[in-house]
Amino acid sequence: MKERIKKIFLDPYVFLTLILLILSLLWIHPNFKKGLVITYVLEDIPNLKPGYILKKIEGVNYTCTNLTNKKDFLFCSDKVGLNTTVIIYYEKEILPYLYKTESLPISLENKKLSDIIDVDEIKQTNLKYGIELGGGVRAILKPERNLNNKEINNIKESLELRLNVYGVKQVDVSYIIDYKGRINFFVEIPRGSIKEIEDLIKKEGKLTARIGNKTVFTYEDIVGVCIGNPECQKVVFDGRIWRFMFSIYISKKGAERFAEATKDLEIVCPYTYKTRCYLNETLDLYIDEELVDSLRISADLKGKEVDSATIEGGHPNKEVAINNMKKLQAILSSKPLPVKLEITSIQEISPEYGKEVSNNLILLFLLAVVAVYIYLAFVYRNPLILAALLFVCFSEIIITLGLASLIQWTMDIASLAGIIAAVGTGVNDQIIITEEVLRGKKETTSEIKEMVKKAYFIVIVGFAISIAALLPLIFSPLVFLRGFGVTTLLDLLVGVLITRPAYGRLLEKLLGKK
Amino acid sequence: MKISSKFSKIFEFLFIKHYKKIIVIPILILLFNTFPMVYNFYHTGKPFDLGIDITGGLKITIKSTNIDENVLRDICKVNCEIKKIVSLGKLSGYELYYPENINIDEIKNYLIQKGVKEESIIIGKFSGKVGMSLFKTLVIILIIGFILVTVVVYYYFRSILPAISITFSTFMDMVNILGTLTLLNIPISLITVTALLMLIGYSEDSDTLLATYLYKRQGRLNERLKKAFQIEIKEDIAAAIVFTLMIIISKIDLIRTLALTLLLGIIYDVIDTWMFTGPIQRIIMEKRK
Repeated sequence: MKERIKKIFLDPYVFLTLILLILSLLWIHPNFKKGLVITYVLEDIPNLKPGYILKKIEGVNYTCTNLTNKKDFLFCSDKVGLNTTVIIYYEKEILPYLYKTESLPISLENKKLSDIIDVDEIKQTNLKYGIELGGGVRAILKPERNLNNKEINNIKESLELRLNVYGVKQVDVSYIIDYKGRINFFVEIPRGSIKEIEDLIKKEGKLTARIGNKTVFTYEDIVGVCIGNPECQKVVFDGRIWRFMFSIYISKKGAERFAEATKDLEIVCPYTYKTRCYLNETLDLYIDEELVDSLRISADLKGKEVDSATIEGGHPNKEVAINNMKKLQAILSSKPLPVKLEITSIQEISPEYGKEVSNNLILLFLLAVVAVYIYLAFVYRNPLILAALLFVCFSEIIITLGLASLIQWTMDIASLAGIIAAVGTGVNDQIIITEEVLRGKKETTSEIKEMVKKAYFIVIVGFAISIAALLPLIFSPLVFLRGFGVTTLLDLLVGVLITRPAYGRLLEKLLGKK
Repeated sequence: MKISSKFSKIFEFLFIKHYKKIIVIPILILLFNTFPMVYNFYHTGKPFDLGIDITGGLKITIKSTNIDENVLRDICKVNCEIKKIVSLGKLSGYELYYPENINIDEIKNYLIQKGVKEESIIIGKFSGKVGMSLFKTLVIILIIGFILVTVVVYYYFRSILPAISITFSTFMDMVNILGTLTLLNIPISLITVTALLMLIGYSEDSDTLLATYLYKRQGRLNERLKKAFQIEIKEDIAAAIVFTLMIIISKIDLIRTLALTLLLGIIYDVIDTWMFTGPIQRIIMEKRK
């Protein structure tokens, strides 16, 4: 018996399967940790790095321990306040699943803790989930005319930048070319609502600043936009509404045009004590010819080359005010789109629904595996065959998921459907191998080896056929179905190169008598 | 023992004694399934109904049962369709289909007012133009897939006969599926076409099995065929268990459509492979001898 077990583990295919299984589990990295993962750290704090797990924040008068979501963190950050020192306790992973707890005092000078670090919920695995599983918005955008390659890349970059600046991470912008060569952009973002996305991506983002009828500067003159720096970006409550303001920086030419446009304007002092005086025209900011802001120009700027402007806005709700500011920053900091994009299809899925779908899929998957194995147990009535089947099927799924995690493939419904399909093909192949081995009641290892070899012919033809059927889909421009092709291909490759041979070897060693 | 002897009797009766006569069964089934498509084409100009993701329109999914169906009928009067979502035999929500784009916010707000939580409402807006162009692209991919598969089968068997019969059997499976879906009033969506692509793999697996046992194995032909049929049935039952569970348990429309298409596929595949392709290949083999 010992000898047989030793032979099984020393078989190159079984050994390779085990190694890949372990590696895949590390790549997938199932996580059961509690706390919040640090996603951003201000450069001033070199000891703290993104990826560490925040466990506790200890302020002078307030301590937060059970941090489970971002709201908890923001609440805690508000509670510990400004101009104080907090101690944060965090865990860092020194080896897979081996954590070391450390603490670090952070001095908050004119800053909140949330200005220094940002956090997110800990991901349960390293797998990237599509919007059906994690929630989000998916849209198909049609440009108003045909585009060349440079324009396609410009639009892709611009949209990605806009959405990133707006605060959406893991933005996936790709394009689909249909059979007539027409292009449609395909955008998938893991959070946001239809309204927010429409506001962000429908706009071309062409800024024009005018004083009276004179154009002072345009989007081409913007050399920078203040984002996230509390010195040039503020959200304050003025007693009535939440006001936001942020600076944009203008080129030398734009500044010269400003000086030229303001040199002949009159100064007006609307307040009784003449504490504040302004010029008699406003600086009107238009985005895509839509007025977004009219700024009063301070009298002391008359005829001066001004290289920055402050964009202001407001809303009674703080969150809406912040979102409006982010939208403007996102649009102004990205290059304007060379053409208008029309949203032709859009779909919104809430994170709660995504969670429900994930749970439903897990239940489905477990029940399917259990049901198939009860059936196979009834058919073969041999625990050795069942053990080999279960080991190989389980390994195949984990290795496929591990590879998907390694190449950072987004697991959407189509990808999962591909895995289910490939698992089905895998079980079929294992049935073929088992049937060949059991055919004619071959008993010696060499006889079984011969039968396994015969079964491989069907397995290899089946594999080649599936690849032939899938290749057009994998290389097709239909990005939303590519996941199906890619995961099926990964699973088929894992199956034919590693797990099917391992299954054959397991049967040889488990059932063979000599 | 009893099951296996009954199985042997049925197998011998159908596939050994009357293998020439049974060819008529898949042909009749094919004709039966073609009829709804011809009927549909005569009345609507299209062989089958296309899904909202191809024709365009608005789909509102309500993942809640906490709403009066009369309220849904209020907002779904003209050119609108209500479908119930059933999972594990229990009602789990509703789907509203509008063929034209309407004011999404108005409907969403109305539903929220009536007590539906915002996170339970999923909105999908689809463009007909884009959907149709994607559908056509997918059909082209399917055709290319078919051609490549025929080439691969030809390469392995070095004979045109299995290559053509395997491809034709898969084509018959597809026509049968489309006919049944039309009969059941289920529209063809982009995922149905993907499932058909997946079916090529499944269907070709069983055809390859048959062809291998016909052309590449030694022993009595009847025994070889019986063995191949046994394997095929074992495989198909395992797959049918998975697909049936997917239909019953899944709450996701896409997964249910995929599973239904594949379940129909494996049922038709057994019929087309064993009652059509198999007998025809045998007849030709005997004539060659």
